[in-house]
Amino acid sequence: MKGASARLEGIGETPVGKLPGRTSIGLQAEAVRRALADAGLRKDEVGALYTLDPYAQPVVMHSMLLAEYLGISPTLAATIDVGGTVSPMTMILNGIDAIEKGRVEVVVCVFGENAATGRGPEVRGLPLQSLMGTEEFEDPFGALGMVISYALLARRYLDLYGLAPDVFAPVALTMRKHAQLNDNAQFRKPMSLGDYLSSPWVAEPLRRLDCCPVSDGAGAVVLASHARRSSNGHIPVSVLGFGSQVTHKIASQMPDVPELGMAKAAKKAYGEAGLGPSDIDLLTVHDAFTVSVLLSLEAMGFCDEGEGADFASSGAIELGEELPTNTHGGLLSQGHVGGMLHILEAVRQLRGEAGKRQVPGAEVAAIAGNGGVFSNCGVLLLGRE
Amino acid sequence: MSDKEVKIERGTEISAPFWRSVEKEAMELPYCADCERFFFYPRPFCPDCWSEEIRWRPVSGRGKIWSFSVVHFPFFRGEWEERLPYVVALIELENGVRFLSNVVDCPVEEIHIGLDVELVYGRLGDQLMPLFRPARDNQR
Repeated sequence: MKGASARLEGIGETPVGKLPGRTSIGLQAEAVRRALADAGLRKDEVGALYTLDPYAQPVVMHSMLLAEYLGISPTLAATIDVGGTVSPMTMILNGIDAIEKGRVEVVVCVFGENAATGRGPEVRGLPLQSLMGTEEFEDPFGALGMVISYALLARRYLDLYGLAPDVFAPVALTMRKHAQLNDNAQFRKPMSLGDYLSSPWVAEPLRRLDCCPVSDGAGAVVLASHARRSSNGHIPVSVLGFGSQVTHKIASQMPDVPELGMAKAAKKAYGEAGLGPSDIDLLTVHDAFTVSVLLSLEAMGFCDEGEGADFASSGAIELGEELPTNTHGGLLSQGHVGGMLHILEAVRQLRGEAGKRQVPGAEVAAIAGNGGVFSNCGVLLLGRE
Repeated sequence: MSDKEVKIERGTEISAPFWRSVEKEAMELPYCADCERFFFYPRPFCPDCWSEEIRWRPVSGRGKIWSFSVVHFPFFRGEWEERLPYVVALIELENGVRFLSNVVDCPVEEIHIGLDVELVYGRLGDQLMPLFRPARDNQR
């Protein structure tokens, strides 16, 4: 994909946190408007709109509703739902394809929702007004939402390598440290190891501080053909490589830790880009739970299997160190907007526009996503031109 | 949604034989006559070879804990909230099927991956459920 004809030209991010009174579609629309302004493009230039309907309020044919709401008439529209951060990656892949085929010149990819304030007052855990599809074999055993599934994965991981739950601490602490450099983060209060260790169990081996919050917010990315590029003043960013792998959907069907799809996804992405782990200047990784970061670091070859915890506790994932990871604070501390903000942060870093959390000279960013319980793993590599 | 009392949906035509066998305390799982192996959850064909030669066969109910979590957060109201902390586990049955269930009749400190377990039946509301406890020869 080197020398791509489609580039990431605009990013737009709304406030993130608890935003009472805001609607999901309103948040998505705001992100789109901000991203188009950032790209220096007009709404009537949008040829394709790729989005995901809010999990908090599922909507059928959402992409058309959003187009109507925005007052645009795209040639192509689709709702894409393949899990955390992999959904926006897949929107971008579809967008590049449409541009390279000459079908459209400008593509908008967006996700956002009011998951924090838009849920019913008694809803606990994920706001699953939508169904996961296999409740029949999970709900009767008290297994609801994503935390328990990830707890089962985390326990398997710890047992495989003989580790204690405390190994997840450096991930939570680093995300919080980074969030303190992000004015648009839901959690910026400093977190100590004592805070982490005294955080209550949700589902062992996961404490509350191993789990990301639910958040209100939205993010959008604008892709444009080389011809349609405007003089917006930003350094253009393009896709260097991509890989993804679906292995299962629900926890009981997952492969064992070494066979999860992330390693295959990374291998494909590196192969497409002609790059390897040592070429990556920064990483954004879908960190709905701390364990996800360790699993991704290992599968992407930044360290050996079972050594993700040592890698994280060495400080390597902190800003200024070997592999700055989730410099925006990640889902764990910035907030959970479906992983869209992981893409935005990578673009911001590659443009050199990350301000006080800038990774100096960042040229290649890796983004790792996983939907379900590592059910669909995706790796997207972005580079500056 | 999590604000509900637990309501068990046992409705589909495909899975009815499973829940009926549980009610009879003689759990059966779908078995592919062509692959000659069990699979779960129920489908009208084998997910490996797509054969439609599916039989329902009884299982020994013996297995090992593949992973587990001690749940402390009240995701569900009602009976589950009263049971906190409870144990959700993935059980690998000796026929190769991995099954999500609960571990009962065992102090949580004694639960570990690899523990031999056996199938028991317990009530949740008015429903009978397939649950697991440490295998008898494991008990002190």
